[in-house]
Amino acid sequence: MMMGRLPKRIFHLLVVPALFLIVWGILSIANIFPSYLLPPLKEVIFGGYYLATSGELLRHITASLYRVVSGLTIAIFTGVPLGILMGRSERISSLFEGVLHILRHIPPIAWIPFALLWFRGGLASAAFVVSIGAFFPILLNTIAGVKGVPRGLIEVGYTLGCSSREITTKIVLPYSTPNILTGIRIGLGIGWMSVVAAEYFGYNFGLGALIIFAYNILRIDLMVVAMITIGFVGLIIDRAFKWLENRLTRWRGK
Amino acid sequence: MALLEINHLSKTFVSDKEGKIEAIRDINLKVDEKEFVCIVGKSGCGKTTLLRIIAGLEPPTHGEVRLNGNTIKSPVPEIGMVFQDPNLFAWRTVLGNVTFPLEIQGFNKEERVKTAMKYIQMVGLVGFEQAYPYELSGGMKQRVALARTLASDPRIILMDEPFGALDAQTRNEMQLELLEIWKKETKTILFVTHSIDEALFLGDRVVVLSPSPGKIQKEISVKLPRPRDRTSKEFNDLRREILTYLTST
Repeated sequence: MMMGRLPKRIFHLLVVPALFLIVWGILSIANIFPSYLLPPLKEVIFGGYYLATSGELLRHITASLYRVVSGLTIAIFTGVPLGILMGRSERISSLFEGVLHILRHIPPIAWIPFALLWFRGGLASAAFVVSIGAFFPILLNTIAGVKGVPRGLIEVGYTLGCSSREITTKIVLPYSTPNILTGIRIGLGIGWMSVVAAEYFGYNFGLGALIIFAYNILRIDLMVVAMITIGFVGLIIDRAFKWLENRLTRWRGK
Repeated sequence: MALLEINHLSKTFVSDKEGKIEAIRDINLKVDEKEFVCIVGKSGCGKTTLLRIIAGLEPPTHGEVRLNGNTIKSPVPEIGMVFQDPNLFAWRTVLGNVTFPLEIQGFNKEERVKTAMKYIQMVGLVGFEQAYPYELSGGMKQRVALARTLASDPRIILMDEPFGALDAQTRNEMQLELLEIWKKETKTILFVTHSIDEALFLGDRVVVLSPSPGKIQKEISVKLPRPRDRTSKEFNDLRREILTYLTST
């Protein structure tokens, strides 16, 4: 009876995680695997409770988020203008295309040593790694949006008296907003993954730093807590951004 | 002097795939201030090309377009255009679309809204100012496009099959409304259509274009009083005459 009242969808969403927890719990109690291979569920719960209530977890989360937002900001302010230029001009596009399509395949984590050498750790290094990861989806989606502007809209702009600059700011940019926002959301996701890797070296706070710290002192339970937190925070920021995206592009209709 | 003068206008497109395509050949046309001229022709007769050249969106291969004696080389504020596709700015409301040209011209917000509302009222869209284009029907979208062009205050409005995508009923309503606006606003209109009926219902003059390449076949001045009766004998005599010109090639 109780279950009948629950919305079906929520029930469906919870089935697999619940089964997963049950199996994990049983395996923990049965003591089949050593705890450094599979930390007991109970320990992870206690570890999570400790980290959450002491405020330490929040401090790690905010440190990581701060770096992601910084890197994302850099990626937006470089990727969007370059995307508009490349989308509008064949010449500029062909100038940059070759290099960018090679750089695109170098993962953000490959930049970590350079990030540390150039920026000597701290916010700048992590933000740099994040910005590399977020830059390409933002750039490519912006280009796609700009190239998709119907010729008719640009011609209307000219007949209504727009200058070339006004065509860009008042027609091309707003038309491409949905694509740009999608690019930013994908960039945010990649940035969130990149920051964890960036924090492996030389950071005291941040979820990546927490994983490495826990690993070094063999607190496998805390490692798992950090990983689960990364997953949940990633989900929340993605959903929040999706919500913002929908609000900002309500003019598209259903 | 005529407001708009088209002298020996020709346009040949060159493409890699299809080679040379002659769209229009030696078009000569004069349009006076406050005149309503309709250009009628089959699809593919270069009507759109002609309008695009007049609007300054496309350079001619030969000849020239003069407005008040000045050669048109690029779009100018004196010439407005309404396309077959309304081309509305989807991210702007009806009001936002109509204030757009006023924003470009640097009017302050109060003036923009005041002028825009005048034209929104003129095209019968009061109550829809805050609606977004996706919420509008085809006829309403085209009304917004017309209001937006009117707001930019051009002397000539070029119209490229603006009612082509609308159902017959809406189309007739729009024609009547357009005539009223034309009278009220004392604009010059150059209207392109493939419908003889529409050309005869609207124009002071009907210019018949023959296809491939587009040439002027005949110019007919329509002296019938407005609003014209589509079922009258005179109207149908003219319709028959134009039809002969259109099918003779």
